Amino acid sequence: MRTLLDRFYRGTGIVAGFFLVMIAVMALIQIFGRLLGYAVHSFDEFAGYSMAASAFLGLAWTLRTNEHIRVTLLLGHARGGTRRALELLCLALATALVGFFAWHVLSMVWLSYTLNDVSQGLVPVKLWIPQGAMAIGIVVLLIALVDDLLAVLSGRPPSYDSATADGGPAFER
Amino acid sequence: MELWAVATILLVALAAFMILGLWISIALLAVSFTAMVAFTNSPAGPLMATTIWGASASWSLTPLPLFIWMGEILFRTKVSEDMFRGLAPWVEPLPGRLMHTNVVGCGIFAAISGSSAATAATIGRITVPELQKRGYDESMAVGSLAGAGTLGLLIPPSIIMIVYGVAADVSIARLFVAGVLPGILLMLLFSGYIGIWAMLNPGRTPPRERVTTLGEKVAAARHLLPTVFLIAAVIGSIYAGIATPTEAAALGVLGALVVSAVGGSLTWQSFKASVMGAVKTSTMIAFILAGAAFLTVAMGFTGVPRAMAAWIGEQGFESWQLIAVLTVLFIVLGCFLDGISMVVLTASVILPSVKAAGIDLLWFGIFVVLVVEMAQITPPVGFNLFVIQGLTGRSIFYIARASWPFFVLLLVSVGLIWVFPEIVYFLPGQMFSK
Repeated sequence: MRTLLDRFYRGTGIVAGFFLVMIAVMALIQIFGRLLGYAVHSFDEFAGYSMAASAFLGLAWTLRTNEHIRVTLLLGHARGGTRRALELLCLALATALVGFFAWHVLSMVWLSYTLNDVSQGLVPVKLWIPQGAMAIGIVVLLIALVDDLLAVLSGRPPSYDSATADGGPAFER
Repeated sequence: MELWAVATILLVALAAFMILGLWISIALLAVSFTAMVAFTNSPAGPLMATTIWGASASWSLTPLPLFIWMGEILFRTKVSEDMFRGLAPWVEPLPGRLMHTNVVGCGIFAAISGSSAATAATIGRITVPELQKRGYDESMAVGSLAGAGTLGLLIPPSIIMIVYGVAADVSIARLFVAGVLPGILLMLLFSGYIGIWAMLNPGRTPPRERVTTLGEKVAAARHLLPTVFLIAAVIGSIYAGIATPTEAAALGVLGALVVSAVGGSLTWQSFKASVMGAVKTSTMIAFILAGAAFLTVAMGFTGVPRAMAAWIGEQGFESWQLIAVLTVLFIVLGCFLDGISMVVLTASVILPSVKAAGIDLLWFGIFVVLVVEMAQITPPVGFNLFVIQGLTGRSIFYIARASWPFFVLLLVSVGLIWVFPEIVYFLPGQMFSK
């Protein structure tokens, strides 16, 4: 179960990486297409959808590799029980809020699906598809938060505590 | 309820969420949620979903992951070694000698990297051991690296400018171009300070190793060619108006891959690592921007920013007074908050007031970048301090003290762009606009 979940988080992270690369590929096609005299349609729209897919599908994995920034003024100095209580409070708040958010994102996707909403661009896209990627990302984040909440509840440290950067340092901030 | 009470409650709530250690993005969502539920009658949930979807599925955000990816690729190449070898013979005759490799190296690397921490890390990785080996004054070497590393934010491309541009709805291309002259100004200030310091403290700079001929200097400069080629591809294409920031970023990624392949550091492993590194950072920033988008909407519903702007308008403050107050506020905030959070909070809450005071948002963007640069080198939270701590093993308070003169120079540059706003406006005015 543990390895399965870890692979699942990493897998969605890799899909996020795929969409990131797609943004670059689409932009390059647009530049070289224009140089060769072809007009590329709806690129802006698809790049935007890829952006959302990449950003949300990467959420859980980014949490587990400890890349979501937080203020560690208190956490960094708390030890033992205090530290655990703080961590629990943060995880509980985050789980509740992301749960609420996930519910409303799912309702939005359901609404787009039932109303058969399509995008405004030249190539009509059924909106529930790109919105669905966002919903999946949020739900995976929710699962990761519950996962860590349960870990801390059972006395283990949260995953992001022991995160050794997977794939080297991410410095670009 | 009185609006000032609403504002105070929300401010305290945000501070509490952040100090507690809630992830910044989630803290922004939490305070927006509180604002919606406690002070408005609008449904928080559906608004949250649609606002965040609209802000995230956005074309204007797409340069963000690409510039981050470009930096991740370059971080894994030999660009920093090349930069040192190319620059050293040129700066050695100057007073302060190789210390200038920090300033010029960071300034040039800033033109292919969007971040301050990445710039300090990449250049420092080579200059810290090289300067140490030759017996340069440690405090000065460390301070100039910390200060010059912040150029990564000001000299385009710049992640923080993309964040500001998206949050404040200002053209990213114009912001990029506007950052060039202030960036060069800062390099001159930094290098000038190093030179004057070296002349006042003659015993503390090692003597020249050897005199190089012009031919040798030119030969060494060939190491800078890959970097120059990347700068031309990215900044050149934006300035000439032939590429949008997204397209320029994609060209930058392609160029960085070519440089990395030619230098022999491109493997499937390093490619994967660069993509996954970029995913982490861009996801982190995009989620903060998503939270900020919802915060802007929620704050709009409470009416606080509007009322604040109206109040500032009524008081008849001079715009310089507002800038002076904001500078102090940002310096204090910058000790505890990272730059991205500062920018998104500014955009959500303070921007209407800035507009009401008649301050141009392009100029304000450059101003915000300069104060965020200061935040990078103020303890206890400053990303450049963390990076240089990792490189030197010195405590962040030692590094902050060493960077202090450069912090003052950043403050001087804020004064200079206030007195001479043309430093900001000149180049954007010359742009080939589309």
